[in-house]
Amino acid sequence: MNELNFPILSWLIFLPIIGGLIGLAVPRSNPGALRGLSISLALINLFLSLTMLVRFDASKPGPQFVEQLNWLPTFSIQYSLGIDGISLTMIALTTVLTVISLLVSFTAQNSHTWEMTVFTLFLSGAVIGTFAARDLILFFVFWEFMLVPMYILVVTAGGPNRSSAAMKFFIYTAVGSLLMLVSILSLHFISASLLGRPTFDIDTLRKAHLPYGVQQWLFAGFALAFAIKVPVFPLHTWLPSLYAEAPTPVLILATMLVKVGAYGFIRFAIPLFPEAAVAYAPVLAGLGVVGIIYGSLAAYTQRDMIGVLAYSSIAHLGFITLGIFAGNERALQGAVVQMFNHGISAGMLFALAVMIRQRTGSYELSSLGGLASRWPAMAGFTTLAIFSAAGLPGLNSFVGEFLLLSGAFQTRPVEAIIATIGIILGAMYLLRMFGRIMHGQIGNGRSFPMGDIRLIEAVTLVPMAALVIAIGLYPRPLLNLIEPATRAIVSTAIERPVASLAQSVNHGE
Amino acid sequence: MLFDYLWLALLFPALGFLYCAILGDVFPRRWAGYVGTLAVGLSLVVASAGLVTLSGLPEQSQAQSSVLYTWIASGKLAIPFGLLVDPLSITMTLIVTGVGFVIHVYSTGYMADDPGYARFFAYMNLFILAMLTLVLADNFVMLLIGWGGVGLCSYLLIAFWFERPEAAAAGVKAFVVNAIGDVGLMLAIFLLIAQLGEIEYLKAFKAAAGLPAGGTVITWITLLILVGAVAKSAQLPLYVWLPDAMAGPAPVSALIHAATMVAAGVYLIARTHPLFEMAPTTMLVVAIIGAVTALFAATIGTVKTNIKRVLAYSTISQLGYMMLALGVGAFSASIFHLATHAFFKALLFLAAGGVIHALAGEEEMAKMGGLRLRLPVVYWTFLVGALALSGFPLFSGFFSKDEIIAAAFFSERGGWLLGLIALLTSALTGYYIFRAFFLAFHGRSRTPDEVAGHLHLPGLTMLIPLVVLAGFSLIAGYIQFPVAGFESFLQPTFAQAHQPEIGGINYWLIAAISATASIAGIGLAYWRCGQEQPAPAEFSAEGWLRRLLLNDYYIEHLYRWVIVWPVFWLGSLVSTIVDPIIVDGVVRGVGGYTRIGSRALGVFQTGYLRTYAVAILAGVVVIIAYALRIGLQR
Repeated sequence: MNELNFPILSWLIFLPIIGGLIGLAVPRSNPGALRGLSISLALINLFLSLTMLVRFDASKPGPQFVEQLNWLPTFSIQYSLGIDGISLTMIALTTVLTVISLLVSFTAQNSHTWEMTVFTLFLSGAVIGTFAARDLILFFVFWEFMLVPMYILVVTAGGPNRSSAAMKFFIYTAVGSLLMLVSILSLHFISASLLGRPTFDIDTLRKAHLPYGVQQWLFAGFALAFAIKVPVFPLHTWLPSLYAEAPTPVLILATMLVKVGAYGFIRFAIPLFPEAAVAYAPVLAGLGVVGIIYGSLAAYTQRDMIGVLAYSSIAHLGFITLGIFAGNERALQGAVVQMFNHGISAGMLFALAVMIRQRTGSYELSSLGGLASRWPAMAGFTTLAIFSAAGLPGLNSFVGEFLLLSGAFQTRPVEAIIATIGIILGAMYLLRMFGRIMHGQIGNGRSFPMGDIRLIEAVTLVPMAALVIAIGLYPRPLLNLIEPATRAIVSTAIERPVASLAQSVNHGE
Repeated sequence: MLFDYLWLALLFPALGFLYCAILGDVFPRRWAGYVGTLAVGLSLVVASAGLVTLSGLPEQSQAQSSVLYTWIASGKLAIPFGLLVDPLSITMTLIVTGVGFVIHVYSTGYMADDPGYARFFAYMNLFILAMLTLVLADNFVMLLIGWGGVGLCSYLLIAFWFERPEAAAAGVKAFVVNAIGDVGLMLAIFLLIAQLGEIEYLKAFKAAAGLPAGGTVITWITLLILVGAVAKSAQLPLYVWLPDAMAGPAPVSALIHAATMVAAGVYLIARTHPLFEMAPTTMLVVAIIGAVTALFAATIGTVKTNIKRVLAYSTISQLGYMMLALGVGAFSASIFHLATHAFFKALLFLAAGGVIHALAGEEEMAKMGGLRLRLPVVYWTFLVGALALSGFPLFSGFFSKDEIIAAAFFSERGGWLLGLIALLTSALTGYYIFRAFFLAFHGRSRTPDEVAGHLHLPGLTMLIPLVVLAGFSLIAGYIQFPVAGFESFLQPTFAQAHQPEIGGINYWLIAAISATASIAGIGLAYWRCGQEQPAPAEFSAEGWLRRLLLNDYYIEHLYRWVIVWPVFWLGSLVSTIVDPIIVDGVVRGVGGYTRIGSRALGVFQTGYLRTYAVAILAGVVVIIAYALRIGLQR
């Protein structure tokens, strides 16, 4: 079977999903039972992912903890799971953020705790599934399944504009999914003739060597779906409205939702269609850079915290997109590190946003101010999170940003220079937000009865703060985990096609 | 290795920071001050031990590194967490911990009544940690940790009194302007990696020797490093953050914005001098920026009425001198001036802090006057600092500044124009600092009675640091004079550099002219401001020249029009029109959903979508059930 003789990945995926199904049956009148159930499952999952982290052998090539079943043999669909270093870091972070997301939703006095708890579990299982799947149909099932809890959650527990936000989210995502499904099925049938047998297994499909013309179309289908999910400019407009309406505690986990888009590029779009990916790379890298500048400018003029964080996500994902399509190993490694780091820093900021709103009743920057004098510990955590997001050297995001930009500089200097300048804009919007919340004086006649960070809140913040500092100062374990996987992708999916493209140019084809 | 114990110099302030940040308000507050001060004191001891060890080594092995671990590794790129110990870094370490220790002692008195007492010492210790990382790093990327860290602490300490809007805004300004410098420095490092593949100083310098001297690559690398140095050391055109940074407490201005952090740009160029020496164009740019900034800031200093702002422009001007020295290749002279300046400028800020403390926060010299008799120790120590700054014969600034002016004249990279600018600045320096001196301490008191009646007289914790720094300001020049001891101490670091040899008659000629110019400036200051009543024009904004200078030659306005507002307008445009209407609209249009259409169908579609979502959910459940059934059959 696998290293553990235990289907650990299936457990990681289905434990929260089954928990969610049970949760559906738990009445709203019994929140304690639901809390107990969900947090224990999330903690078990965290334990399982840490076990994998310990048992994972970074030096071995190929997927580990593999599980394989002939699921629907008639259609040659397999239930096939397995992870490499990239998947593992993403899964581990998902399990961490699931716990934190749940804890934060418990502390936020919100009438929708039931919905948040149940659908967070579903979401967690689906996200882990997308990171572990090695069969395209299986991936697609999890991919679609991610959409459902998020959608229902926004519709049932969202803000005043929830229905239009949910609809926009649904339409964008559904269009992307549809195109991806068409690409998957086309790939299946075309490769069947090339390989001699039909399959959805990505490792087999990679050997198909599709003609360049076919690759172009199929890559476009995948890329559109992933670009919407990331989101890449100009396909990002669903994200700010969704974030504004969704219950904020869930957004801590939803930061992993958008990572699935970036992951999709790395795991599927680039390795399956290497020549097309190389050809499209300048466009996508360019759009990433546009996203950095555009997202930062928009973030600088948002009126509320969630708006700033939403556009900040677009800017940060712009860096990641640039890293993925820079065509350089160090840049790709940096992009994966940033996928991890952004989950932490954005997760921390969303958690703090919830705590601030709980105390002040508002996300509006104009109605906040002076909070640092009232809650110094919260101000301290916010400072750390803000400067982590700003890429301060010595904290986690700098490591990824440095690898990403220094790598991109070697292959796409112009884009890298503009992106580096984007760091200034990042400092501007982050410090503007921080100052509006924490500095100045508390408005006249306002009194906030709640005290500083409570123990349960500290339990959610301290692990993230520890990761921010630990990865900033000692990123080696993380880098060692990721490097073999990114190297494999770069050597087979980027360097070779670049060489072959160059060759065909030289031969005047 | 030999210098592994030097990591302790970083460990102590790190522990001090943790204590003050986490436990500072749990245990009695006074302890935070003691712990913070002790931590820096212990670092000073470690640094002194480092000096002793280093001095015992033969000259050719006075550059040792101590690697703790490999910080980042990716492919062929490996970035160590390592210290480089050589005369330059030890000099900087001693300045940081020495001046830092004295200022910590002073702060235990100055900040005693502040509710943020523990937070203050937490930030100060964190600053010392970051600054030591900056000066001791053995590679460019680890330098960035220190570089960013001091920027963070600068932000936190400028905005220390964050309830005041101007303090909060000044903090942001400092951080953002420095981010411009950080970007320059980062791009320089990217270029180094791309071209040389090395980021450790010594290896990179060796590899760079293979590049064509004066070529495009080395010129770009050095120009980009210069961007970082210009931002950090508040040179034209990026000096704008430093005057505003005076919103922080006086000890912060003394430590960060006078003695140490702002000198980091100077240190960086001195550290990377092998690269700069290969790029004559950049060297010329450095010299010009330094000379122009020195003169520019000194002229502004002659009209400002806020005592800390006068000192801020003075710092900018003095840093300009150091840049000028670097640009003409006189690296040792630059570091020498950096060292003496650290003492006398810290002294001036702390003495000014004594005045401000006494007057319950008043910084305007229009409200001072006649404090000579009320604050005698502050008065005399400020006088020592002022004399040292203006280059009065036999005080420390006399030796260090005149070396720079002589180098500007006689170095082969210098010239008479650079030298004249430096001399003119010297006269202005004597004028502006003694103008401030007379306005604050001489003449009749202009302090309102209710403040003058309750002066907060400084205690011993504030007075002893003043006296100690005054002592150093007096004698620090003699580490170099008369036997050039400091230059030969630095020799191992600058062994390969082509530094100008300035000595003999030329040097003494320049020293005499410079001192005369400076004394003339002092005389002018006495004539205008040293009487019972200063010239009334001093506190007004009459006349075009005074207005031009009071407004910094309108550079701030230029920035507002060219950068600050356009970014805001552009951002507003994106947030209100481009994103919600154009981008969203186009994408929706392409998707076949016009705004009107979707609104009309909204009710229907929302219901439809819900059904669809449930259908997907149901479908997935069925598939899973089917899969499980198959799984169980096996």
